[in-house]
Amino acid sequence: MFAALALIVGTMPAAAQWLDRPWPGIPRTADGKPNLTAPAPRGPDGKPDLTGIWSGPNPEAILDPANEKPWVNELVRQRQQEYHKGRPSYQCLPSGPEVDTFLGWKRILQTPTTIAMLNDDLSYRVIFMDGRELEANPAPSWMGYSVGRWEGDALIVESAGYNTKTWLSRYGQAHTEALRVREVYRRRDFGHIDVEVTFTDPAAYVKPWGFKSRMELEADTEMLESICERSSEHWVGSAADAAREAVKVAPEVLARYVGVYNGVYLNTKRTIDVTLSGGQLIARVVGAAAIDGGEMRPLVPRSDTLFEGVGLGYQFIVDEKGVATAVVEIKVNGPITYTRLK
Amino acid sequence: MKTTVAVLIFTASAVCAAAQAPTTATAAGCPLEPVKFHACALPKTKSFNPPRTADGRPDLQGYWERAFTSQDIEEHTAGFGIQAGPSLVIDTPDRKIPYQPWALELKKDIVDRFISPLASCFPPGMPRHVIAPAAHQIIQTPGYVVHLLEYSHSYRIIPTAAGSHVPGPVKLWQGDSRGRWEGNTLVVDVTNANGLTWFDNAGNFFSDAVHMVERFTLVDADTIHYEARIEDPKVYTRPWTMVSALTRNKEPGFELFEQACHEGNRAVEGGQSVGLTPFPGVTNIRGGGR
Repeated sequence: MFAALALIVGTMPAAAQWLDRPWPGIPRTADGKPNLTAPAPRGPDGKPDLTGIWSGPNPEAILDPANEKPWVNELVRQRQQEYHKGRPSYQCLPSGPEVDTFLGWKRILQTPTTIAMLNDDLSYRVIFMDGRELEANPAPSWMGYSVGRWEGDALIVESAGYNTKTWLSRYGQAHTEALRVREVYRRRDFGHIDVEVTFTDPAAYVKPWGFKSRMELEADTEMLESICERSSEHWVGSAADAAREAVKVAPEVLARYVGVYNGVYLNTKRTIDVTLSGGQLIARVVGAAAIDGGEMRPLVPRSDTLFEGVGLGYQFIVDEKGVATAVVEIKVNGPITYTRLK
Repeated sequence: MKTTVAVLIFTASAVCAAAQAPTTATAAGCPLEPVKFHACALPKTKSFNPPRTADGRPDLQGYWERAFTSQDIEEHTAGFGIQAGPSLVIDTPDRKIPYQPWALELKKDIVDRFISPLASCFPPGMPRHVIAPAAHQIIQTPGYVVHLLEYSHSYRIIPTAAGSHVPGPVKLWQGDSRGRWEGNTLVVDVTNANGLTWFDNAGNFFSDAVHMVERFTLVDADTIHYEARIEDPKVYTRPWTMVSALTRNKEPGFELFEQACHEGNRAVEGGQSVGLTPFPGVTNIRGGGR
């Protein structure tokens, strides 16, 4: 029924990096656990050393339609209609500057002249630390071209030279070849790097935007490869298909589902805000990191209580009066129950 | 018919490989032919004092190219888009891979039955990563050697300080590499391969039981002697060794570009259209499952 979801499992970040592999020579607390608040290590040049295996929370892109130029708005809408099946990672293609890649599992290795960021999908970036400048008109590539420098203890990375095939978020926010990305990394202690990412692309966005988050050291384990073995070209399903199979649900029934629901997805608290607009239920999905708003998912009725929202199932749990007490998000990696707050 | 199409599928990568051919016939004053290179280069490594990293290890960093294409690691003649090349095998009497009889039978029509793993844009695996097309870059930090590959935008990481292999049931496209320094040689022990990758486009193969010991040694500042000892009791009658020179790319301002291999890749469909299937590994071909 929700066929488009079948492939999501292949795109899950390597959440199960489960190996128990003690790292020698790292600071530990009295009980033997890695001391994540010990001072950040420094390289021979005195600069903070970012070397390590890191991961961060699955970030929610900031969706702010008012900040998007109309053509970006339109592409975001189209890509949602197609259930995001063109997302580069779903096609086994590099994710480039997509929000998720800044915080997924990665290994960082640092020399005085080079920083290598090695992703678990075997894509990688090399950040040149030898003082070179970005080219004015670089050849477009998937992963871009990056130069870095130290400002005190902060690593500043400036990148350009992206092709236009990559997205800035899983929601399909587009960019032009003029995109510039600025990253700031501060290893504030042994176990944490504060990350700040800013996208500047005047032809696509009214003003620069980005996000702040945090990477945590994945000590005492190993990062294994996570290879995309099949692209998702055989995905089926779209908003148009869902509309064809839609059933009619009375407005007073829909009204009983309007409310705010809370749940946890991939260790991140999420809110689903269900509203009724022009006779259609809309689910606004907001994660903890979102600031300006989450993705708006039109909910297309399949029955009085079951809806399809951009390829996911939404099953409303109702009391004896037909009023929703919870909504269950149905996805291939398991259902998630969001309980009603109001 | 099948054969013709299968060859065409590989042509794109073979042409690319030919364009990357070495421009020098010798390296470190040694002929590139693997047996001759081995005999000539090894004594030189004994007297060469390599440049060193800050932590005192031989410095392998920089951009590198392989001496021969990975069209066929056994001796082969030139073909359309294919360079002739000598066998990289140095220690069997006929310079061929010592396949067990059943394996030799499989090898005969393997490329007529299965889609080359590289055509499917899978990571090259070991040892093909080292002799893969296009440019290579080595970066070293205390405790790690990283080998970045332009081809299929992949990398391998070799921890040199600590750690045993990941548990046996973990099977990886790139295998699990564990390195150590023996004098001036980086010795890398590779296990945990998934057995789904090939040595080359000719379909030379191993199983998921393969164990490799690779040795990287600087012969002079611009040449690495690369050797891989291959042991796989499921497939071969005896362990064997392959050798290739890696030569430094000294082009000023050279940088790796990238190859998003899946981009516009139609090789898999081409193979499927003539009845080829993805290579399932010899354990599956012979039964017993994976």
